[in-house]
Amino acid sequence: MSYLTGPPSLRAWLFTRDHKRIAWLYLITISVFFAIGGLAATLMRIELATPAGDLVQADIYNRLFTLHGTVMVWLFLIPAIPNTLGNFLLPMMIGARDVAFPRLNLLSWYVFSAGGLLVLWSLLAGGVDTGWTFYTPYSSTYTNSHVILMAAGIFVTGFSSIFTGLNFMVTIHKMRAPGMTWFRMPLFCWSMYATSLIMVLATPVLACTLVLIAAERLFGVGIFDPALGGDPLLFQHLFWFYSHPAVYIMILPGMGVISEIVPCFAGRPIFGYSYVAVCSMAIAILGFLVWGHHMFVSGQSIYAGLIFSFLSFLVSVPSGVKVFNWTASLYKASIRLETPMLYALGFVGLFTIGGLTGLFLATLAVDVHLHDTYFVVAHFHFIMVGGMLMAYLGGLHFWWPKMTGRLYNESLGKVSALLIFLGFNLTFMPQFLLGYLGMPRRYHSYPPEFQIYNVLSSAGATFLAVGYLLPLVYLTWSLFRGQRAEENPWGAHSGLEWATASPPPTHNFREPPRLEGQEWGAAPLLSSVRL
Amino acid sequence: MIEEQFEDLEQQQQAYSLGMWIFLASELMLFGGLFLAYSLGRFTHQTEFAQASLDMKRMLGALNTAVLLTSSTVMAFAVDRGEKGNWKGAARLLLITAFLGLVFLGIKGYEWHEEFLHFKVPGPHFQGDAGEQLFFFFYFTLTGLHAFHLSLGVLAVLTCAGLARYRPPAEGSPIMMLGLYWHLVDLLWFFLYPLLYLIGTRP
Repeated sequence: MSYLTGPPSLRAWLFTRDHKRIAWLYLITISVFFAIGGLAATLMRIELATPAGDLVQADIYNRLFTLHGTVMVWLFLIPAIPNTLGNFLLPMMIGARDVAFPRLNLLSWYVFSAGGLLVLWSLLAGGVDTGWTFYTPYSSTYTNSHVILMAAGIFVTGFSSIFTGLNFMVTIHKMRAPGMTWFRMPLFCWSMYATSLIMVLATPVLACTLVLIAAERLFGVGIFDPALGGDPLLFQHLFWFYSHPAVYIMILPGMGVISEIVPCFAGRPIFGYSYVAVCSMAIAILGFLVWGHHMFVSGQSIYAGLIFSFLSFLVSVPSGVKVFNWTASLYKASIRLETPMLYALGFVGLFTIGGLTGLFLATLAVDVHLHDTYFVVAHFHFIMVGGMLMAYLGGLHFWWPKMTGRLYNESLGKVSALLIFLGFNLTFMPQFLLGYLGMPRRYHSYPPEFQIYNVLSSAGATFLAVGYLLPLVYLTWSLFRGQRAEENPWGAHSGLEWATASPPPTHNFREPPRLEGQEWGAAPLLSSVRL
Repeated sequence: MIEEQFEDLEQQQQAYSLGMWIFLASELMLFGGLFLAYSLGRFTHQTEFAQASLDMKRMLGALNTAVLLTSSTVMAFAVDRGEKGNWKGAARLLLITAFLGLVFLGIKGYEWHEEFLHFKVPGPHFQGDAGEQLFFFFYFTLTGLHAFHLSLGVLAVLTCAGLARYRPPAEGSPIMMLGLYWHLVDLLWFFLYPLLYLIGTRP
């Protein structure tokens, strides 16, 4: 009996402690938030199709990009892979029956949903116009929008991050099956561990920063507002101390997914397993030391800027190592271009462009020119959408047969993967040029000479929208009508999840798995499993 | 009782203990951000912070430090009894720990009340300049957050004491974990006390 055919009532789902069912609760919730954030982006792209401000005026536009940023970052990207695929796969990959604290896992979903509802409430109450970064003193003193409500929502969702991170770390440390050593774990588990470390240590700093903003608004104390004797740079330090590592919360899980898909469809173990594993940890640790590169033009000391610039270059090294490892795994391999692999290859290319343009921005002098332009927007969308979202969709397609026991329509899958890849490039490539030519971000109108790039970008966004809607249709259809999937439909060889039924039984394995034989690199993991 | 996701009791105990340590690391980062903001405030408003600190009731703060230190000592004994399987003794010591926690909160509440009466709560009625107001803001935020943690601790200790009396747990780990939490809350106060009460010098 599988976890899906257990008690089917709504009550059984809402009070479940099964990590696989909680993954579905998260999957549905974040899909709703993705649609809301996407809707805001659609309105913005329609507005930007013409130079004049005709669809919305500045105040509405400000609320739209704040909503888009806040919802996409905190309610979609941060939980996207860890709480859906991570929740579903992590215990199975290490051969455990569940995460270490199943009740805490369920609590994290309730806390997340409560925070999400607060954010939506702030939207219905009239929205926030500060941008997702809440820069002071505008957010703390001058704006009359609903900052406190939205900050409260993000504060609350932060706890769901901390709970999940704590849960995953303990699960990886203490719940591995006999014989599952650290360097035999699938690389996805390493990326989950690195992500969890950041969730646990960085999120509380965001929590206290949001409390300080609310306090400055409520009591008029001078913490961040220079007019009251405070320091706005303090806010930026505290905010980016969380929000830069948060970028790695968003991309590390994506790297983990790619490290599972690439070896499967290249038909061989990944090149340099231990380097990829260690690089995940290196990114997590170095990621804590680079926040100052957001503040090169904010009045930070030039010497601090130099050091932060150097450290930002340093963090690109482990990311580069990973790209080389994925590429080397493809060298002379017999590659199967099925849907998940198309997403994975898209990820590698787009992430490389996103990463390299990040180095432009980490260069002190170049950043003076590019700061706060569309170049920055294009850069982080290459990482977040071209990287993370591609990885998320790739992972969803890769593990969909495992999660549901059904196969989806492969040709529609390939069409939507290609559509998303092309649409993405059409949307965001022109934004690099726009930024280089000097168009600042966060404006609803612009001089006519920028129109051609904006029209291209808006056109690409329509392709993207179709590309995102297609999977919703054929994946939902496959839930009811899809062909039954076997245990291991892709012939994958790197994780224990493929050694159990599709969909898995409630306790994941009929008998606890034991691993025998050699270390990971020498033989594919599945061949050493005794169930 | 072993929960179904664990193989054996030892794994369960290790998981809970590691979970608590990770939680405490997360707590330190929460207070860490506030300590950073406090440090910058003190750096930019040195004289006002020192001046405002003179308004603190040092003796009450010292008394509270002693109360909390004693409660931690009692807690350490309770953990020891729990590990030896002496549930009655552990429960008695836990009750004393919770009582000392309540004494701390009482004294702290009295101090807050006094400061409220003397218009030291940040906001439109605050009496003092901007730097002093910032000091009192950090004072209320840090001691408030600390008292919130301590209140949760008292509730957890009372629950654990009650459970230990009527239904002794099969293993000592709940008391051990409570002890870890209690000591962290205690430790935070040892940083708060000098930072808030002792930075001014009387002329």
